[in-house]
Amino acid sequence: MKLIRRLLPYSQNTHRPDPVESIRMDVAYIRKLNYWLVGIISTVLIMALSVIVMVSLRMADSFVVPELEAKAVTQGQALTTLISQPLSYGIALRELVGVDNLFKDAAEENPEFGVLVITDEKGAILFNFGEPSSAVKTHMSNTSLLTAVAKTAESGVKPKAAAFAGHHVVSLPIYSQDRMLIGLLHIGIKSSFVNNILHELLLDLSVILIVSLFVAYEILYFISGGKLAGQFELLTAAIGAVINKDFTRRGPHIGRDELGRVAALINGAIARINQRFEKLNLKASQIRLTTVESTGKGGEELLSVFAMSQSVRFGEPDDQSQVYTNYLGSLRAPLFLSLMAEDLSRSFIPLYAKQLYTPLPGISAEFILALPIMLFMLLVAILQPVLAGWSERVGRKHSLLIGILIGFFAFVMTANAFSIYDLLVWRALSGASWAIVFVASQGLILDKATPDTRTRDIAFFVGVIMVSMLCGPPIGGILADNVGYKATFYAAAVLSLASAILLYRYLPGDELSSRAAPKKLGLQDIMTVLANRKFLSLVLTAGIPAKVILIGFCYYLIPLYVTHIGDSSAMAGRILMLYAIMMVVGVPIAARISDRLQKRKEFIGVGLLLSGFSGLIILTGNTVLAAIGVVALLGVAQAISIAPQTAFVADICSEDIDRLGEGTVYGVYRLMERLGNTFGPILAACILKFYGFKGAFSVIGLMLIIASIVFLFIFRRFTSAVVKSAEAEGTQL
Amino acid sequence: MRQFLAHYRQRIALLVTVAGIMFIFTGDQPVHAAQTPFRIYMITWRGPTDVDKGFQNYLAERNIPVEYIMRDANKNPALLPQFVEEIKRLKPDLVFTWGSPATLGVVGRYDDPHPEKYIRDIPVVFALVADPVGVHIVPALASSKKNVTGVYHIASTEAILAAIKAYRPFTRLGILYNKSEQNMVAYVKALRATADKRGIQLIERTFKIAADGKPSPEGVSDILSDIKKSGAEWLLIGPDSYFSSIVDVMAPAVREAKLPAFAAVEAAVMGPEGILAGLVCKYYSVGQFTGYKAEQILLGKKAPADIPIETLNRFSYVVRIGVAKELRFYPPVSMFNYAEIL
Repeated sequence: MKLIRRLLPYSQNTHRPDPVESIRMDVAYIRKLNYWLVGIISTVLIMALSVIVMVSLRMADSFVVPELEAKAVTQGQALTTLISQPLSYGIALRELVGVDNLFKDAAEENPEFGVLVITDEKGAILFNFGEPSSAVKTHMSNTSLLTAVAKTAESGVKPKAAAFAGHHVVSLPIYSQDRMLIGLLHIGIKSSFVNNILHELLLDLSVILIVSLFVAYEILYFISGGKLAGQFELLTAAIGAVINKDFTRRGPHIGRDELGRVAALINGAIARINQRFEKLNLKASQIRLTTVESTGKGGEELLSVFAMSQSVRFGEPDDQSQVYTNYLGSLRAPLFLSLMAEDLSRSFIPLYAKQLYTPLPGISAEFILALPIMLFMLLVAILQPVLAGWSERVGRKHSLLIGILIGFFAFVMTANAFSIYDLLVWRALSGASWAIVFVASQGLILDKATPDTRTRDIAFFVGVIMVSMLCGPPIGGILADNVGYKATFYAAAVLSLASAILLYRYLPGDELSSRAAPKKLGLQDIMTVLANRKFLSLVLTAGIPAKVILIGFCYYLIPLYVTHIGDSSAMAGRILMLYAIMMVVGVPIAARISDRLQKRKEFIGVGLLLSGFSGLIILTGNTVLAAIGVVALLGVAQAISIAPQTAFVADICSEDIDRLGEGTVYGVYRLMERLGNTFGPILAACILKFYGFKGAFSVIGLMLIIASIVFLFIFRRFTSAVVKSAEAEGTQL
Repeated sequence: MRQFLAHYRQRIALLVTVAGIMFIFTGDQPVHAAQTPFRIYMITWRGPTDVDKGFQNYLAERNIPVEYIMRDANKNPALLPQFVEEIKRLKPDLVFTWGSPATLGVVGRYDDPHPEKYIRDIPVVFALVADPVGVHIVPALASSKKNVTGVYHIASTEAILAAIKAYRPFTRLGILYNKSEQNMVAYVKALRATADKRGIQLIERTFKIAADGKPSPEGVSDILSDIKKSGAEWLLIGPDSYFSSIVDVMAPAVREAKLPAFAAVEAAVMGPEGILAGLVCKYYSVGQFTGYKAEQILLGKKAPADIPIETLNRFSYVVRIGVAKELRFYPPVSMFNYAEIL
């Protein structure tokens, strides 16, 4: 309703009951239809994917085990062939040297091998790597196994594994110089390895399920919400304008579908009315006033034309300009795609840098791996204030297109980077692209928002960013693990290109904003705001530390750590998804509770403290579980503090806001936060170099704990004015 | 099983080879039927070996017409000045020298104050000099800066120690050598430095020198058992011409002393008699490679100073399995992937 009212300037002037009210029902109907569709599609998708997951798991189970067995047989045959060489020179089986190393190397090459054993012809263990369970020992000591294995080998049938708790055991014959069967090689495949594969598969499929749901929703919104509902709204608006006697504008140009034909009819009618009025006007102008005076005729007609032109607004008959356009709906899908393109590489950017890394004298590897992230963040930080005016001048659509195409170029070049140095250039370009897209979308949304819709529209913007943050890293991780980093960057490039095409095709070119251009953030403003001691304290103890830990952990340390402990980029991506989920779920809840309790500073303090504790979780051990714990707690902690923090800025800067305006104060605050983004990876890299992963996580964690204590101490006597932080949520970027 | 090979390659930093493909190089196309044959003055040290055979066969295969003037020093350095006189008189196109003593006798130390006593105008190619820089034949491997080039045949002491370790790790290493051979003195000096760096204790013993100033095999059994008693886990035989010349006597004596022995040269491990194992260049291949250098000088018209002194880029890891069985000291299973088992 608010949107429609915004779209109809005349409806606000009229004292008549809103004529659009009745048509509004249609749009509400579509919205309702949408909820139904989302519900049904979600249910169907979940059911379908659950079936796929179950079937895949069952298939994988019956596929993975034989595959691993076959591999063990091949590897085992290579080992027995090698072992047969010293035997062929007459060296006795039990006298072989270096079997332990041979086994160790084999187990290193094949992580699924848990146990490697050579037994003699009586089933006694001669050499072993790993400790076989007693059941396996009994199995191996059984002399009938020897004959059974020999029989299988002679028949040429592939040996089958014997399944035990913990291991699947494949046994292969060892022959002496004179072709006598003198022993067996047993390879035990870890059952846990098989389970791990299935587990991984399950996780991947779950991620795909979640992401499909979000993507399905985005598509649905794009088609029915963005397009259909949008068109209905536009049509409604056009009809509303006509009802309000405004014939200056046309309805939407939609196309040849049903709605399109209706729109064409309405447009035709409007054009005809304008045409007629023009004719009438012409006629009226021919009737001169003097004629009226002299003859006394025609005065009434002239008067009625005049009266009509006063109460009704007519336009040029061939004016093609539309009434209003649905910017938000057309922006959503391309914005999502373009953000998602960037988020794809979140889970492995430092690993990709590692791949290209060449040692540089005097600079540590850790530092260099942090550079691509730092540079990206730095460009995002410094470009945003600069770009606001530019995007305004160039036009939002234009700047969006430019930003996305720069991103496309940067992704293609990143995929083809040949060294760490040119990678830095491409990452910087990606940063510029991200900043442009961010600024232009935010600008477009703010341009089009009315005070009524502002919160909702910005929440929409935040929503897209969150969904992309949620979907991008895990999908990117899966892609990276399966098709490689390079191909994943190509995928990102394709997403960017698709985004650019959608944008070009569906986002209406913008009329220049009627608003006053946002004030540019000058150095003077920054200094003025920073001179506020409370503001400075908030920035130094909460704003910057929160970002340092977020970017340092999630973008830099987690991808490196997860692969360091031997897990995959897909796992890193899934863990990062957890952060986004915590935020999506947590931020609104936390904002509401902190509003209700009016305990903003306490929420900030607790959030910071928990962020700090998240870093200490790593001390529980070098496991994926620890990494999950870190990110989950960090997500909860940031969700708790993020909205209250934003609201708190207004609490402590009311004078500055009165003087400089909210935009300026928040601009400075965001700038400071973004500088925190750039410090994050660098700080993490420096600590990582000297103290390893545990050190890096826990030292940054401790810093946050200290920051939270300092924050609570500084603001111990401060009480917030009653402002809703939930409302400030909208400005949380 | 490729990974095991790769693993060891990495670890001992050397390349071992399948017999036959011994080295890779590109040569100029052979020139057929030059009018007058080249005259090559060949000095061997202890009679014919695979080195001179490889050298001559290489040139023959390339259809390079050659006329040889063969001389053998019979391990007697006193004969060398006569050869130098003869070379100066005959003015051959090229001189070939076998081993460090013969090469030093013909070209002298590069910093010798009396260059007139040596050949300094006719190109000389040497083969089987273990350490041409160490014995001052050339100032650096990159270039002799004069009329000499050639092929050395010894893996670095670093590689040798790594190769021994690949067979069985050790901390005490014995070495028995002829101290009257200059190249052995230089070799042991280099070995000392490397062993020191790796924390390996070196147990050094030398052959007795008889009254005539020549080394003698006298009392080797005692010397060997002394080395064994001193705790040596391995015995290293360097590029020692003397040991190689009496390997038929020495190899059984070393076995008798129950010492696993490792050779840096082919002669100590690959003949009818030999010690346990070695990381060696095949003599025949050394000769071929020397022949290639000669070709560059004769046909390619390159100055010897412009031809670097090199060794083969592939060495053979040789194991005499018979000796291993006699000592009950078997190579690790993975070694059967790459070693040449004799």
